[in-house]
Amino acid sequence: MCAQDVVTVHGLRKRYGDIVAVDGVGFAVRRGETFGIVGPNGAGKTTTLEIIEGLRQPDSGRVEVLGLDPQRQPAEVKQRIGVQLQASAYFDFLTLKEILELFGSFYRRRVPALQLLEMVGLRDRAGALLKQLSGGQQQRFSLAAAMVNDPEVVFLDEPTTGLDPQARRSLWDLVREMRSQGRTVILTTHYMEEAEALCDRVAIMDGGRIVALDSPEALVSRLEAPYHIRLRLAQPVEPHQLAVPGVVNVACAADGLGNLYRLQVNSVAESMPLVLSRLAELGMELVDLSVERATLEDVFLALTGKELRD
Amino acid sequence: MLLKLIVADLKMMFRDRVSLFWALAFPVMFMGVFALFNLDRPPQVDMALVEEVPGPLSAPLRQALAQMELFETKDEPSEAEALRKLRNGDYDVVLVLPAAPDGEPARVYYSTAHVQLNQMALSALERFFDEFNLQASGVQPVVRLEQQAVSGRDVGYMDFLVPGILGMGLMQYAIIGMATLLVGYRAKRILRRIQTTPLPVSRFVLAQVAAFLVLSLLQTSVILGAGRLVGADIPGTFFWAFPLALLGNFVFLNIGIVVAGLTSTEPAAAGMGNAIGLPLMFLSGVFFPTDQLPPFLAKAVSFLPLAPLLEALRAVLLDGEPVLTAWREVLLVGVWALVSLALAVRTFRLE
Repeated sequence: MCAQDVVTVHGLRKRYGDIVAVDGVGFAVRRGETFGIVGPNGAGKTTTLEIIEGLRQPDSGRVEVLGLDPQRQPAEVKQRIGVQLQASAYFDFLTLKEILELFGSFYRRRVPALQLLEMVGLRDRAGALLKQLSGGQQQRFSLAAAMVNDPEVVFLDEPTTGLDPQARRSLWDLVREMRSQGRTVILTTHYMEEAEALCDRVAIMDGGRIVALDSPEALVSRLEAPYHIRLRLAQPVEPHQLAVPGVVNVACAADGLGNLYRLQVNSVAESMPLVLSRLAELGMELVDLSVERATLEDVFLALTGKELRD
Repeated sequence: MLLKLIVADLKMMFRDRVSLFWALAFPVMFMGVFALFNLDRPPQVDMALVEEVPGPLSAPLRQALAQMELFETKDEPSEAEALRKLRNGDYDVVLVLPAAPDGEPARVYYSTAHVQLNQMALSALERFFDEFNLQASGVQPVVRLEQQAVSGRDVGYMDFLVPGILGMGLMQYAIIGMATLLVGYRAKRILRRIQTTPLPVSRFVLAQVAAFLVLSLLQTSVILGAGRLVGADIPGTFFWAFPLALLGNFVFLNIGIVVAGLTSTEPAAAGMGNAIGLPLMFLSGVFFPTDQLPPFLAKAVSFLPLAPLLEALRAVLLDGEPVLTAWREVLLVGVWALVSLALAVRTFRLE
């Protein structure tokens, strides 16, 4: 374990009956970084998180949080971490301020309720009940509730699931603010673009295992073909005719307008001239062209052979 | 830490108006409805009086009947019509007076529907005819019966009912209130959220139990106070009702936790709570004394928690006895407290 690491996990295993939820997971999270665990539903993200938080016992493996063992010293660990559970609610008949004050009373160290509400932009709703808030506001509130003890490590389980794009952006800003305050953030998500937007490093999980772990940038660069060239042509063409040297894969991308092709390439600089001259040879008229860098979505596809879907 | 939580729990219970209604207003309404029926009214015999021509018996009989509260008398023109109504249950007794005192006898018909009541009516009529005959023949009675009244404690139905309603109210709110609350907290993952904090979940539940106990004291005051208002005569001190209410409530709260452990949704929890509470309510002597039950059933319910609790409550409230005269009942409820606590701890689950 490196002195910088606030969370370390070794050989974690957990099964529920016949289902192996977590199958030998290990990683370390450095102080101050935002660490993402991404993967489809059922990949074992939540179970992994809940074992680290001390909510569940692993069948085997070792966990250390802030130099403490969450199984043996759960109360001490819980004093110093903040947790937002996936889809958890709060009390129906207490106001936002009252809920934060109540949760604050469970900790040695506490942040004033109004200051927390200010931070998540709900100061003027201090006297409201939770059911009077929108989905995005409720999610922001649960972030505030995860901060009542001024935690060093914050765990966020699927913080933006079910939110509209605008509410999601506003939540992203809050997560970035936590990072800028020097907190270590560990979050799970099944949105790859969320992991790319927020995380310093990402562990990609599938079937209870970590299949890759690095920065989003490095994960994408490691792909055989980290760039996509998208072409829209005036007429249809056989995909293999576009497979010039350096093109790893050609796919017909379906959209309403038609004749859209996606070429996965290793290097744009090498492949682009070849693609353009092939089009000229074929006498194809180019309607539109764009170049994109591959995403974590593609990384997941390349690693698991599966599409990642909501 | 715990005190703040108990205060917050109470705040939530008071803001949850629907639950509060079941805890406080519902038992009081129940009592009010029973008060409307006036079940303490003395029994009455509906009697038809048939006399074709007023004879010598007519005037003294009517005078005597007017003084007896037992009879509600109506005149009927014909014997046949009166007997038809007797068969239909409109009358309990039909008295046919002869036109002349000698010759034909007076005839009385009575329905077999209310035998006990009609025995009272017949003996009252017999007494009247005996006295009439004695006076008519001028015989001096040899022995007289002198009557003297001593006031005795008469436990009216409302008096009996108020402790019953108290037990019922405590039980229903504790079992169903606790069960649905915990199931809701579990379904909404509030229990898991508590588990992420340094507060042990057991202490969280303990605070909730404490808040319910505090509310049970209020329930006891409101129900007993309302009982007084509707005219129940409760000569004993209210003081001992409070510790008894706490003890009983503790048992029912534990049962509520067990119900929450065995069910997964709020309707299921409420359903199972009622499945436990309603039979207990009807069999344990809330509305009727258990000695009207078949003996084996009365014996069986006397070992369940509600019956001994009601017994102890009635002993201190109605008979004004010190709580220790009901020590057997209190001990039994105490044993239930321990057993139900053990069951609650065993069945409690976070997910």
